[in-house]
Amino acid sequence: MSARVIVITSGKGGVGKTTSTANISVALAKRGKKVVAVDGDIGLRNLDMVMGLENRIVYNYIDVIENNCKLPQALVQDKRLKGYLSLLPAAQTRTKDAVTPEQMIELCDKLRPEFDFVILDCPAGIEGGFRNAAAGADEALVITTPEIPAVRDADRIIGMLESMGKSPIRLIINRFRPIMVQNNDMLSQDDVLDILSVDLIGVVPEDDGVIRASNSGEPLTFEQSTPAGEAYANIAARILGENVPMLQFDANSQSFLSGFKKMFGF
Amino acid sequence: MAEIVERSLRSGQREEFDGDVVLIGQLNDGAEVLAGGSVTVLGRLKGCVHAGRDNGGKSYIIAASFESQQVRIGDRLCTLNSASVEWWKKSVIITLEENEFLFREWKLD
Ligand SMILES: Nc1ncnc2c1ncn2[C@@H]1O[C@H](COP(=O)(O)OP(=O)(O)O)[C@@H](O)[C@H]1O
Ligand SMILES: [Mg+2]
Repeated sequence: MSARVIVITSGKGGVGKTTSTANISVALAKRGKKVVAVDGDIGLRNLDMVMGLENRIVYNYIDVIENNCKLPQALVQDKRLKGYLSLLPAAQTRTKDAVTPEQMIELCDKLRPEFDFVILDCPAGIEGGFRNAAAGADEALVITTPEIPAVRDADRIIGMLESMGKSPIRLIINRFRPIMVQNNDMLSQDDVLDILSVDLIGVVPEDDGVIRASNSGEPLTFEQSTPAGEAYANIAARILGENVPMLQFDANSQSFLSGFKKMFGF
Repeated sequence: MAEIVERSLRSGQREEFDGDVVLIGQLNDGAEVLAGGSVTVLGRLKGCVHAGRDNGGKSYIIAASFESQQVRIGDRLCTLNSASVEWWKKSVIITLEENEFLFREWKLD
């Protein structure tokens, strides 16, 4: 086995990286893949909470890097998908400077033979934390919400991922609200792609279930009966190379941008 | 001899050249091209171009689609105004004539 290592990034914070990491990891594990979700957000860890595994953490990967424990000791097995899903937690009491990009590459290389997928949850921004988390990855999924500042920051991150040689780099549009798009209050899928010219791997709608799920520690893809859960299951299928048609939310071609331009007369 | 760049420049990317530049790709919002000579963007010009930095403004800017808030030639700055907004999303060649910005339609023929 040699895992595909995928980093989940965004320029702007709070757009859904951790949510996406948890849901995609669960969805891939449910498809029979051996998956490890790695919390790249040292010092602000919360992937463990969203996955409902925070009470079972003993060691973290800083302990692995510093040889305080062996890799299997730090891996937290998810009993709901035993043998398929694990979490490799971050240290809560350390800072992002605790690891170097070289150590992250080494860690990923240790994980590769044991798994089909290594999914790395990345801290926001373009600083050291991002560079560390991205260092060991082959591929990237960039998350944005359909808002200009988030899209602009996504463009920035995509540029950096391109120059780091990550490929493919694919986009997830999260917290999509079809009604707002219809009313020209939100960028449409086409508007976002027009700005970023990058491959889209999925659109995840705004869904109250996501918030309930992060509080209960049970990612939506366990059930998959909600719109966001379905969207994430589709994204997992596309990661596996399946040709799943995009859910079309905005049949209406009238886009936010053209409305915006009309408003200002250009 | 012009420098040819065959990719898009994304937000935060900044490229500096001594002579002329031809960008075969988009210049996204938040990206910047600085050139001693002329700049041709065979894509959408949404970011910032500063042309003619070395020759007192005797350079041009060409954009396949002009979508920028500001361009510079030499030491002159043109922000989006009632005249330049007429050229929004059009193919343009921008020059300095007697120190004033002149926008004209740009066609390959
Ligand atoms: N599709 C969605 N619908 C509703 N809420 C969402 C959605 N995606 C994320 N959220 C909420 O947004 C907040 C930030 O998400 P999170 O995944 O922690 O972002 P990040 O890791 O990028 O900082 C969380 O409270 C999460 O529950
Ligand atoms: Mg997070």
